[in-house]
Amino acid sequence: MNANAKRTIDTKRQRQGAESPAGAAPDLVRLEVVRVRLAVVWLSAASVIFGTLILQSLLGHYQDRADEVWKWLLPAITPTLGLVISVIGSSALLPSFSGAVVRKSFYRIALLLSIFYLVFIFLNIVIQPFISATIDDQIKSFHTSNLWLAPLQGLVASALGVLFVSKHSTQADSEDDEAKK
Amino acid sequence: MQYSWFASGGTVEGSGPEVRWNSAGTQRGSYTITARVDDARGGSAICSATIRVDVTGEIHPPADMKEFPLPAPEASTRQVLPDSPFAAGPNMTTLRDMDRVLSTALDQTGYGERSYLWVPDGFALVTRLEQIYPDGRPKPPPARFSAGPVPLRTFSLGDYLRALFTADPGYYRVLVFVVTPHDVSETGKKPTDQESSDWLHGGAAALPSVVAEKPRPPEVRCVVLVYEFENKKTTATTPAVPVPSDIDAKTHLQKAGIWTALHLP
Repeated sequence: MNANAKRTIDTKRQRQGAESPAGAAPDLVRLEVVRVRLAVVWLSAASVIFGTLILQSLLGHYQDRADEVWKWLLPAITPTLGLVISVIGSSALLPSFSGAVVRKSFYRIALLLSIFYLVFIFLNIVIQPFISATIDDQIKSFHTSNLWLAPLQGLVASALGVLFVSKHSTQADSEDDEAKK
Repeated sequence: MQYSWFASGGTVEGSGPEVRWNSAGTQRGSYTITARVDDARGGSAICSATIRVDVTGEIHPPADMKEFPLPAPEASTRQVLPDSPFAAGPNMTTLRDMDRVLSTALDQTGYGERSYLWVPDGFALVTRLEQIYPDGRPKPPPARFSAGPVPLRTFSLGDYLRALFTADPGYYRVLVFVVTPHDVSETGKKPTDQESSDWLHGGAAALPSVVAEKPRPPEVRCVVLVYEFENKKTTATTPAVPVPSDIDAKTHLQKAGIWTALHLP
């Protein structure tokens, strides 16, 4: 094994070490890492979506009906985004990592659900020039999109609720329990 | 002295040595007015005069043509076309010849559907309501002749961004070519989009021969009235409202390709 290959493997191990707790199974990932990654996804997507809608509103795209569009968008994003931000914020005040882990499979499901959901919302806005000719049609289209966005939002909220709200026994707690026995 | 008056047409009003001849109800032609004087002692004299009646202006449209209102509703912008396409010559002797020049130019530029309305000693040619860009270019089909706003059908980055971010009202245009030797004045009252639609659907599809065969009046001109409308596209039934044009009529004709099709410089 040459020096370069060894260095590559070492770097990979270091990266895995940052994501997975020491001694944890390789299909586990730290809860904090999961939360930060999901927060990045949500903040990035929300910035793009809000930015688009702010620009549209400022340029008068929705004429005097911008409030109806915001009424459609805000309940679709802000509850989850608020949860993500507040949990990340409260974790930031803790002196140490919790040591909680998440199965990668579930993390991937939560990540994909979030991405699908946010992409659907964004597509619903940017596809309007091709499907709606009037402001009235656009607002109707936004309301219609709730038919598929609402169930998807339910799934996303369930997944993120587990990761951001539910209390888990940490690996450290498990080790303590073992010691007591 | 006793005066007797006779006329082969019209009516003689009054009596005595001076009367007035009223031509009401007469057609184009010559009429003879005869005066006979009797002196009640067996003497008499007869004198005749011939008056020719010529019809210089028609005031009613033919039965199969609707009338374009003159003075015209207030146009967004207007232009008197140069005489060169309609200059008198062996191929420009009737109104049909003038229509042929206009029709050829309109066919070349995609204005296949048009309508003919009557104006005194001429005709008005109305094009179909079309959607245009703010600079006067016609939108590509099918948006061009769509009565209402339509979503984008082809992708162009500029069009897409404009449609995504701006209010992008729809702009519409109706062109009316008024061919007449008379002045084309305007009322100051703007037309509705329904009125302009009625011009198109109420007129004749081709210039009726009763008008087409008339000789080209020597002082005839072609005045183009451009009626521009704006639709805010709030709902599918939002009416288009007439607006003043940001560009002049010549630019409208140039952007539509009509100016070039008429071989105008």
